[in-house]
Amino acid sequence: MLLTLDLDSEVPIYQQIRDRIVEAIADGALTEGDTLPSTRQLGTDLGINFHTVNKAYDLLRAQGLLRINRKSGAVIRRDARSGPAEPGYADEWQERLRTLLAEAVALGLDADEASGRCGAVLAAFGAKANATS
Amino acid sequence: MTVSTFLDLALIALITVTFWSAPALARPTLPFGVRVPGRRAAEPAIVRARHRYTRGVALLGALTYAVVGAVSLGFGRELPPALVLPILAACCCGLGYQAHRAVAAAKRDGDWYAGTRQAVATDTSLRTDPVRPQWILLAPAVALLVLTAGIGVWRYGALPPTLPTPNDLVVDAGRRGTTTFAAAFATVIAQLVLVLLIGLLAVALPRARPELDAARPAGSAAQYRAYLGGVLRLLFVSACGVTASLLVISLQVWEILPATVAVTVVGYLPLAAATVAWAVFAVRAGDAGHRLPAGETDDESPRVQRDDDRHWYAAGMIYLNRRDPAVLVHRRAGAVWTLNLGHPVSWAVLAAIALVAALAGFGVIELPTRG
Repeated sequence: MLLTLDLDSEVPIYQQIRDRIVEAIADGALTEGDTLPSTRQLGTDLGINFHTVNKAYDLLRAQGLLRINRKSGAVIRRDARSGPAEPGYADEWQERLRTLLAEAVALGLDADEASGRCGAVLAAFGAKANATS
Repeated sequence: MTVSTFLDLALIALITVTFWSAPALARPTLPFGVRVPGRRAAEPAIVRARHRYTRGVALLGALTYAVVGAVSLGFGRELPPALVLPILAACCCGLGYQAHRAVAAAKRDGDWYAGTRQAVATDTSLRTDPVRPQWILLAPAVALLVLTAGIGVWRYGALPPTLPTPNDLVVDAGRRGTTTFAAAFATVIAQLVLVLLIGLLAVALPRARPELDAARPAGSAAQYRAYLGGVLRLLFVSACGVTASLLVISLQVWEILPATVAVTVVGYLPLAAATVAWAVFAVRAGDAGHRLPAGETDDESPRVQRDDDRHWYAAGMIYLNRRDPAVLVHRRAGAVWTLNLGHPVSWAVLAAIALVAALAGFGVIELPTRG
């Protein structure tokens, strides 16, 4: 997967790494069982401290997207085809979505456009995943 | 004119062409070792600096060629290449540094990075599915090393008390040194060191940080993968060429082959072939492979590669960044990797090299010598 970090962004580097990996899983660029570079190697390749990469991997592990062990390193634990989400995840996700949609409504985006854009993003994930599989 | 003069003239031409072609092979976003955003790559200040540099190098090369040729033809004497070649290279470096300063000043004055979003990029597949060296290509070099060592061992007992020694670039039958183990096997030791170094490089280079451009990550990743594969293949093929040349020189030193012009020319042919292969690759691939096909990618990003000029010194030749965990990085100019002098491991490597040099200087260990 290609990983680009915006150094002028207000989003912290570890969060960007985490977000790009989640997007790559949704796109199908990463699938269950794929390996990621070690934290030191990825830190070296991006010219950043390996603790930053470690923080991103910890977030992904806490969400159940990554499995880390000494032998096989960092391995993608699940993707869209690995079965339904864990119970309770949808409610927790909706809480975060609520804030994002609230921002859209507050800044004048009408409901049709907001849902249309959500659909377009989901369709793009599906299309890319089909293209890569 | 002697063979040595012809070789000197060939080396002068090679150095001149190498320096002259460097700006054309450099990445458009790294003119004279200065990082610039892609949309600034054709700025008039860069074009002016490039013209001035290429004119200067061509003039210097022609002047050196004329002086060495005239001294050889007119006075029948040879200017020592150990003096002429470094002076020519140093003058060309001076012109390059002048151009670097001109571009850096234009970048600073014009604030070329204003309004850009700086980024870094990598391709994780270069780690999970790395470029693997084709070790089988090193086999001919190892076979030539074993063959040379075998002939040396067979011939060692029958060697005369003195051996012809290398005089500059050719083996000189008239200039002889005492037959010692180190003198007799100098070329074999050189072959061994070369094969070991090439092997070490083939292990280290795929682990170095990939040279990707955040403005076009997919394209530059594809180019870098092809470039790295090409460099590794060429390293192995070059090892074969150099060991073959050293085999012929060994045969001349051991007086199995005569130290004639014809044999010397034949001896240098594999080395010349390796040099030509590198030249062709350098022109085709460009620095870090930016001229290679990028595949069908549409990854024009609104971002630009991070401006890291403050960590590069001597016109992009020396890298020092204490906060960068990388040890080996691709240099800004040429198909060359360099050490990050801000990393303790780099200093350990340099200290080890200095220790070997010091031990050799004090005669504690014996390295192969010339003449």
